[in-house]
Amino acid sequence: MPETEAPTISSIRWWNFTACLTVLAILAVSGSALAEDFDPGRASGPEIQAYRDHAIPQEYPSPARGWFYADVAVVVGLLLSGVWLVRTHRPARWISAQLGVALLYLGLIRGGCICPVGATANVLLGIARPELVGLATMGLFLVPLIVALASGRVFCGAVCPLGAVQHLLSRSREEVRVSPGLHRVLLALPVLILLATAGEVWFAHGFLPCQLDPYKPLFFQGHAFVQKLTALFTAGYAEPGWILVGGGMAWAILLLALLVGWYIPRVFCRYVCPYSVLLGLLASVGFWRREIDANACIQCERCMKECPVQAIRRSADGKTVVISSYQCVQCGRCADVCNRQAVCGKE
Amino acid sequence: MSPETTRRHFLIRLGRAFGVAALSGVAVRVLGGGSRDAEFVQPPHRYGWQVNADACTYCGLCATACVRQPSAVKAVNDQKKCSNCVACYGHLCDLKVASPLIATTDKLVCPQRAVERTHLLGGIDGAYRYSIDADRCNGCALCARQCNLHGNKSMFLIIRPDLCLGCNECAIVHACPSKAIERVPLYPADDFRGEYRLEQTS
Repeated sequence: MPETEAPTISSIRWWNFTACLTVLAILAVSGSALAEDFDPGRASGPEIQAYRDHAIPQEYPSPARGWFYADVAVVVGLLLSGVWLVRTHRPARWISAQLGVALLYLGLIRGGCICPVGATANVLLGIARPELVGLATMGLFLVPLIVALASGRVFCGAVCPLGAVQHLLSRSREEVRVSPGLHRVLLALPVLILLATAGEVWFAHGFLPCQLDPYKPLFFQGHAFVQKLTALFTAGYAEPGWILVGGGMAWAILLLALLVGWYIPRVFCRYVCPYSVLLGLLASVGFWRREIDANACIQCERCMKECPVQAIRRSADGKTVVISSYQCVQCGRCADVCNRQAVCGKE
Repeated sequence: MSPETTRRHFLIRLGRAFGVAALSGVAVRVLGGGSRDAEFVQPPHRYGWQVNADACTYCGLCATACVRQPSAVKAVNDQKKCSNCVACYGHLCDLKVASPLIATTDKLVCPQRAVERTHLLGGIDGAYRYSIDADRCNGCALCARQCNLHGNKSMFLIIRPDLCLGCNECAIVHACPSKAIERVPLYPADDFRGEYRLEQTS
């Protein structure tokens, strides 16, 4: 019966309750000293509240946005001057000198990431999600392509910092020629890498060209150094210690790439760079293409031996020597060695 | 003109038309901006990286994963949120140290001794200011982990935009087990303003 059982239960509860209360009281008395030790001593009160209210948050400024506009302007400027050098057939050393400037500014000062090669991945990502691409990146990607359509891969030969490292390094006389058969097979690699770039950026949000770039420790090291130097002059924050960019692996890959590049000129440009595919395709239908005048050519094949990217070969019928606009990086070395001025531009 | 030359000219014209169409197509698509429900407004310049403080688990990989050594990731303490305790979980290993001895103890959470404790108000049991010296901080997140486990969650990690090299592909993104590194527009400046949590953009 509920009426009779109810008092029993409540009395048991009451006894339980009092027992608990007693235990708690004993614990509280004995543990009060202990609990005090764990209290970190939070500060409260109007004074500390005023301090918190008036605390001015420290600002960490982003790099001045002028840098990004300057980068685009420098790339455009170098491209235009490159087009002028190429179209007026200036000596190859002029173009090399310009590459030196590009390496210094775009590579070492700006960290090589003002880089249309990497921007390929960004723009591919942008096709899927446009809001993830900054407009400066878009500009860096488009301008060299437009120039390629107008007058060949001037970007590779006269502006690209990655090309510059390889070009300035491979001026030795110890060049190794890749056998034509192997060369033709390896030419498929950049196309595959371009497809893989698109796949990775769409499905895994990874940037394949940046992973494959072996020169980034060099560029980043320069960039970090310049960043620190700038901070010292503009009263920004500079860390006191030495900054090292990239792990041992990255530097080992860089050394390996430099070593290979010493013997095989522009090995990255020819067999890795995914952007070269886009530039090459536009250059091969371009409005201005470097060609060899068959009437003037005496087929001495000096240009074939001189060409760093092996873009010059005998035509299929074996009667003439032709330049592949897809592969030519407009370095101007063929025109330098030709005694007959047979290398010319063709509208 | 021989038929072969005519064919070649035609193919080149076709290629040009195709090239121009492809370039303008990509340009219109990308410059046209994102969808209306996009996470960000497309910035006129570039993107950078930032730690999402809500997702961060303070594993400490930021200290070593960054391509830059010392890391561009630093711990900061939000002064508006800090409890200004006498003994700080992010500062002291053993909080039972008597308050007069805290200034001299060497049992500190930060192995670099980057967490600085300065007296602010009141007596020896008054209020203290905790700040993190960026010169010494390497982004190991030990202080932030302690503060978030026990304290008032005022310490957290940021990627300092003035130190970040702005890699296209952030090395920390690959190392981060909790997907806390996010691609964010370098501007507006509010995103990097001060020792605050980042504004939630979604």
